[in-house]
Amino acid sequence: MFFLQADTSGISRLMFIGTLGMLTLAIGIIVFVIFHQRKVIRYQLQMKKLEAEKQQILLNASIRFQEEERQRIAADLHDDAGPLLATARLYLNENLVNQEKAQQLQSIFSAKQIIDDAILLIRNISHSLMPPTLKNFGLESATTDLFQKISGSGTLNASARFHDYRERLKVDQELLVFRILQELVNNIIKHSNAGFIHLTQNANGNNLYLRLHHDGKGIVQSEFDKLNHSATGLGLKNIASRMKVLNGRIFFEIDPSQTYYKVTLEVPKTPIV
Amino acid sequence: MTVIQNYLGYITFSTEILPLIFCIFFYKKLNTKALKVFFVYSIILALFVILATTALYVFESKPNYLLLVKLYNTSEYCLFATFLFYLLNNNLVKKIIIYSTIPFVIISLINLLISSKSNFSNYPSLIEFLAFIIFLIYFFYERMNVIVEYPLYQSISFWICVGLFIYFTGNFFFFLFITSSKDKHFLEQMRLIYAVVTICKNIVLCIAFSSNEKIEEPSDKSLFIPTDLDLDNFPSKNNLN
Repeated sequence: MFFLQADTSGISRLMFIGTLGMLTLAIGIIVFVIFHQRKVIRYQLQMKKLEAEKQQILLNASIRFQEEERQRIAADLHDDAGPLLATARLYLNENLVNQEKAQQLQSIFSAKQIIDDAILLIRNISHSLMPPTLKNFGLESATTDLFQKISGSGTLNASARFHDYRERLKVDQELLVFRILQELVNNIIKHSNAGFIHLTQNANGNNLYLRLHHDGKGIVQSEFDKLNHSATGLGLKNIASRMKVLNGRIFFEIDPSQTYYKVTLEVPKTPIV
Repeated sequence: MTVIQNYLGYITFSTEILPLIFCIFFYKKLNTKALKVFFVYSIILALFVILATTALYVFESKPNYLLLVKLYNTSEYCLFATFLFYLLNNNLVKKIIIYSTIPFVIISLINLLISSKSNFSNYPSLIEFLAFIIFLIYFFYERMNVIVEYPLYQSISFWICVGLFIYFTGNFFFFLFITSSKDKHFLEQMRLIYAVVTICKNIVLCIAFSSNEKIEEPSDKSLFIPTDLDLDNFPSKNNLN
């Protein structure tokens, strides 16, 4: 009321109302900003919870993948190696000594052939578990070998070019990167209907970069994230969980020319923690 | 009323030194460039208050006091502009803010040369207040859009901006009407408003130091691959283009 009793009441009132209005506006803005930010933080916490759930899905997928791999190996051993060895045993039964010499030789030859097949089968299973080229010569050789095999099949053009791989990754890291590349290449062959797959590698600072290019039907990052959150896409979840172990990042994109897709892996050279 | 006015004036002047005291007391918390700029501002504010009080109450020289006010206004604008320059993320706005100091300094110098030495000219102050109300609204808008993991009210810079926003909005009409009337009663009211707003600003600036400034690290999902890194050169590319 004191303000309204002033002589220059018009200006005084205007100044008082103006100041009050400005202060109300200022406090209003500040309160709005604080509350809005609190809302955003709450949303972020929710997102973090979802991320944790996603990690759980990835972990489950990884375990499921391991179980499936074990089942496959068990099936290979049981269905292929088992009968082969059993057949070889039949050829080499107790009656072999009572048989004629020619028949004995025939049985031994057949048993030898079956054992050779069994050895080959077991070697294939072993190689699928740990590629010998990767173990002995490293990621560059194993990847080049893989791409040469794909190219050799004649169905699509494949090549790998390593620009700077003087500083090798640790064996565990190389295996994880190789598995990711295998999974990506398998997906491209199975789903994309591509005419070519090319891999380029380079390094910068502490990071190693690998980029797959293909001209088939690919996916972009948003689709990868979506598939990663869905119940399907076990292979992609596996890729994501392996990238997490590597502490690396993966990025799916389409080239600006819109003619081919790119998948880029960023892997830190530091050892796995 | 005059006694109350005088006491309020002393309290206002005293509270202007509080930000410097808090800055020295919580010096370890001043871990960003913006906060270091604020520290410089608090030193200049304290110096201005001491010199202004001396000029006004000891030497009773109004022209010297007004000269100090004009010089302080210019330095205040430059320091707040630098403070916001370090706080904001948008490069264009940052440039606008930092380059706006040049015309402001020119305007202040012209005002210093042409205006009467015994009268206060409110134009530079009005420009400053209007500019910083806009800049601070943009600052709040930008903070709303930046995703952070900790609440905004835990940041010293945010509370400093809140204090400044209250100061600029609350005193805008004071500087708008300061030269409009010589009426004693009216001037007393104005001083009262200025004192209340300035005390509030200084209290908020002091409260700011109870928070902890956290340096934010950028988080982006996309990869930062150097442009000169050869990753897209493969045999079939020539056939594609």
